[in-house]
Amino acid sequence: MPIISDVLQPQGALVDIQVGMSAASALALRLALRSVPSPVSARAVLDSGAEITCVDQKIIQSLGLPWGGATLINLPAHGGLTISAQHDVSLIIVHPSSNAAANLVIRNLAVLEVQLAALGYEALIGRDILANCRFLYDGPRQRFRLRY
Amino acid sequence: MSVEPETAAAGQPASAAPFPVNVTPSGREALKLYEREIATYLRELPRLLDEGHAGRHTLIKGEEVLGIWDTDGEAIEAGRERFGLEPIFVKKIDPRDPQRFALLEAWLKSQCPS
Repeated sequence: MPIISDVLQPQGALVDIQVGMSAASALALRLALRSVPSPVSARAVLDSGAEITCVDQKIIQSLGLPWGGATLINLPAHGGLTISAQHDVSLIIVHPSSNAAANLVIRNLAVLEVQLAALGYEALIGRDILANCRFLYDGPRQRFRLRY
Repeated sequence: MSVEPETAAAGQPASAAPFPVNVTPSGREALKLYEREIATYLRELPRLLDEGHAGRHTLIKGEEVLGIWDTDGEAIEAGRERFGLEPIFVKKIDPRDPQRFALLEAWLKSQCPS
């Protein structure tokens, strides 16, 4: 099982991610003979307080992601109970080794659109993803580990 | 220690100000776009919970529940296969939603009293 182990940053446990169109939306685009936008690189905080993974509005808009619903969730990092648009994406947590086989790849994932960029990261990795991982926040050592 | 909104709201007297809900610009747009789907979801939710579907994911179009899947990814695949890039409504079946949507409704009413 791949492990990401890194130093905690002032913003928290930060990981590199890539966000793109969901595999299902990309297929629909190809069937319509339209080009699929390239994935966008971003920084994300591992946030066990977030019920669902969230992505910054600018990334959602730059990719032109189709609407996938509306979600009302508790999002402490964004002011508590929040309703926002939901979109479907593909999301990769990039392993620092650059070994693509060690990346965590999710082909179709529902995410919430929120404004985050001013906080120093562009996504929150929520409990929908963390539910399939082992996440250790080692405060005394100022490190974290994510195993998946 | 964090306080879940539901807990805080339940502890408030009936006459207290509505519990604040953060409505993002896209959330406001989504409330209009998915008005029928949200109504359908809330209407069907007691049945879905009775049938043991809590935590699963549903795809709704208009007044119709089109299916239920174990993961959001499966529901998204089904929705995109059927509707392409049109807006779809994929929703996790959550027993907390009646209370949460009641808080949202009270909050929206308090913001637009007329």
